[in-house]
Amino acid sequence: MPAAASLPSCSRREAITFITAAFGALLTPPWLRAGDIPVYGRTIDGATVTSLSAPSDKYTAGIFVATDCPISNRYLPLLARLSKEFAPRGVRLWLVYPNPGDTLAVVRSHQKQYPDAASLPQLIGPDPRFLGRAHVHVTPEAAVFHGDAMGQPVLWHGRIDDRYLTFGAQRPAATRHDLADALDAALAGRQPPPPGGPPVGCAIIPRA
Amino acid sequence: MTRRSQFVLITATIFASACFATISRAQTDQNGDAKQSIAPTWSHQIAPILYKNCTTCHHPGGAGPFSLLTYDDARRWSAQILAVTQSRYMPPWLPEPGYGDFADSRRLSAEDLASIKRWVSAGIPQGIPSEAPPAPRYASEWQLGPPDLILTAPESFTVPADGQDLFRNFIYPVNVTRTRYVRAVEILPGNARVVHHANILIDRTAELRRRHPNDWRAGIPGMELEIGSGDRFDPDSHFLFWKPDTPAVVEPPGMPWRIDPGNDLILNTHLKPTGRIETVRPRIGLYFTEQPPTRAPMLLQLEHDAALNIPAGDNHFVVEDELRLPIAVYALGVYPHAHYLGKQLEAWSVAPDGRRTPLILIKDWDIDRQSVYCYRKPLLLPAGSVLHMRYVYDNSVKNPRNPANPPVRVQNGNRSTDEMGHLWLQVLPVHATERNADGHEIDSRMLLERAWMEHRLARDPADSLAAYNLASLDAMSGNPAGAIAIYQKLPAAAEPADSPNAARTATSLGAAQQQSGDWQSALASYQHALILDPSYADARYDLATLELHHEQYEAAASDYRALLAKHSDDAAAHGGLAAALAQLQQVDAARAEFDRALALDPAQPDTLANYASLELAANNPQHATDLLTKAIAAGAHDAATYQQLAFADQQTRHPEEAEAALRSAIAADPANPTSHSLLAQLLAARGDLAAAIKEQQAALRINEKDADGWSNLGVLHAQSGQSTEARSDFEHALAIDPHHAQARANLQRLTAGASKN
Repeated sequence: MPAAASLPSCSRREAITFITAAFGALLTPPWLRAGDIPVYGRTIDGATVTSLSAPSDKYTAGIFVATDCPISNRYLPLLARLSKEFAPRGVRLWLVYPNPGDTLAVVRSHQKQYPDAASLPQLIGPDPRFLGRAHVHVTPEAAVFHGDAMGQPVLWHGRIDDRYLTFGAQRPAATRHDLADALDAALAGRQPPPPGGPPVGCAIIPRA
Repeated sequence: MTRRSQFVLITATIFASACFATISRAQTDQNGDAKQSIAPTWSHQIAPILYKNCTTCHHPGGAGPFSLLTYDDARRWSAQILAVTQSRYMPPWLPEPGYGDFADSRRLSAEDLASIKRWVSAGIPQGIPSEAPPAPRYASEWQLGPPDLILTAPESFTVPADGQDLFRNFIYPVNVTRTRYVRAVEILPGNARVVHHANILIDRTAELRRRHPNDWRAGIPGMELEIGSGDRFDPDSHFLFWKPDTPAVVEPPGMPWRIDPGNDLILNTHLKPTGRIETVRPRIGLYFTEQPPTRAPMLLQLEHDAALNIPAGDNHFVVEDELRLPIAVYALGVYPHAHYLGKQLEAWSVAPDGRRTPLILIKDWDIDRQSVYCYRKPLLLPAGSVLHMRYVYDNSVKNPRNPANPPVRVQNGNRSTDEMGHLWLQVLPVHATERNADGHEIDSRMLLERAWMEHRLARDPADSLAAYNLASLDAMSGNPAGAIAIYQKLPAAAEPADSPNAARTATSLGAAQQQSGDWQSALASYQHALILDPSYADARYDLATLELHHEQYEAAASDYRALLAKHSDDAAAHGGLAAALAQLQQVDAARAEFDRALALDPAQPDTLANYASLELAANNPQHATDLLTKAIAAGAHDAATYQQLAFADQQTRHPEEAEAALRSAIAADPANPTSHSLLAQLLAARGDLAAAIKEQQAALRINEKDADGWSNLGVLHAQSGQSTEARSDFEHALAIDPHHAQARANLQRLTAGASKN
């Protein structure tokens, strides 16, 4: 997890800033640029998230998941491994819970059942603008950004791997690792290759 | 004493679920009208579709990963509902329409598909909630009520959070003390979302447990199994296939399946990791009936595993098989099975007149959605029909289910990375018995079995299992010489000496030799089997029993004890040990063993009769009478048992019952001379000499060389004053046995009496 909360900073691109829930509204910085998102969402502890990366992070990846989606749940052990593998290379993976039903309490309960989820930072109730910028539609699906995603168009989005090709067409093991390949390419300074196929999973529920 | 010579049928991973019957589940009426002009609503059109087709799995606690019982549920999952129904991924139903008319088809109608599509397009309207049908209710425990016997896996199994699917075989020793008939079975997986599907196998000889003496409690890994089918021709004939939407398998009337003391059930499960560590400990609930089966179906298999040798990259590899039916049958159900490379699976039957009956067609095989399919009406397949199967495999990279990437050459085998091509057909012979080539009336299924095994052997002369089964059929048809010839070729031909099958073959050879009267060779064969596998219980039992029958009582007792050291609950072995101890005059020890045997299984005719012999000899005729009455009730309708009962009745001074018992003995076996002789003695004691003479003459017509019998007849003639006949009888006895002392003395007495007169 990123470091604990501190006061907001104008050098938002370099700092991870968490603000406790009680003061979040008061401390929202007034100097956002067009397209910036003041608050991405909340952590599992209820703290507001105003930045998704640490200074050392080169890329941020949001992995959109849902507590009630069996396919996204089945990916959690893999996502925990990917997080561990890419963190030292400057990539921070977030589990993002976009669905309105995935409240803090629901995600907390889910995390007790799926301990792998706890090994990644979690973003609950993300700002719809973040969702729109990520161009994701199902869980699980990933979106990769430069830095902390602030003001950035999505660099790459798509499936995690090719284990699921459609509902009913599932490989015993993935043969193409789209997200990992994309991150490897980005870290090597290359354009990430597009995913080899559409993501398969549960539709993200639009917030009313 | 019963023998346990093995008859092995192919009993691969399969089984249970009767064709003809399924549990009635909560359903609702489709009360919606599908007017094309009005957008469908959940209340009117969609809820009925979901309740009929989806919620058996998709309810809280069900096997589906989410519930679809409420409007909010349907709304939450509407995108998936649309996608998976239009693609026909859900509900799971693989057969193509028009190729077999199956009961409980789960294929959604075009109208239902259109309604779902229009409902989503219209913005998933709820409609008026109060007009929705009531949601079905699902039992959280046993759907059929409390079972008669609940079996729980000895230990739970931990499924890792991640990784490939697992196949695990849970073993359940079945604690029954007598043969029971199972009319229904339910499985509670314990973790519905992990157990994808399961098959129950009946392990008649607890073979899998014996193969894994130290680790069976935690279950044995493996996708497919092959086990023996026990010691008599009653092949397991039910599909005992479980999947989440059919939690209870109810057999049709007259078709329960049998479970005997000493049997194990094996639950072969397909487990799917869910993303978190899960534990499973499935339970099986059995529902019994006292009514034994009145109809005997059979499972026939088409396959050509030897031809499964699929080159890497081949996307159209065809495997075919065909089998000619020697008799007319009804096809009740079909279970096609392949692993991950199977693409198109098809089967059909061609009648002698050329008429083609489709049995099934699956165009996009998916092992994850495999099932047993029961025909809505039994299909009559006339004698001479030829069953065909044609399976197409795809071992290219285009097959997403291919376990290997890049593809590798794949052959047949039981692992998930191997391939398989089986088609099981549940058939019911139109006539339960038929005449075989020798004109004997036999179980029709034996003709099917022979046709099946001969077909296999003709295709592959090295098919040891087919040869073994044919030998067993020979043995059961009264042709032990034919069986011996086949068995003797088997071990060298196919089986490594250390394989469990080698010991089984040696044991079966021994049984056939015993049947042919060559008991010394049989003894050697059983001993050889025990050298191959010292823990092989059946060989030990057969050896002990043979020793018992041939008066090697010390050896018999020793072998029974060796068996009981590892299988202390083997009722028949306790009974055999008791019989040996009785012969060794260890009366108290024998009684203790008899009691132990009967406590384990109160209905063993042989043990009851042997116990009665001991009590008769110990001058306890009343106890003997009780035991013999139970033996007869348990099925001992042989002349010897009735004769013993007559003895006991005579000793308890019940001559009328004794006479009735002897007449039952004669009815059971009119050609048994002893029954007639004993009845003659009884009648003579009562003073009815004419009737006694008649019975004794009947005995001697059956056994002319019985010197005792002739001497006894002479006495009866003498007592009734027929001296000439008496003299002739005594002389007849002496002609047979010149040293027959009684006959000679009787003759002298008769001569002396005549000279005195």
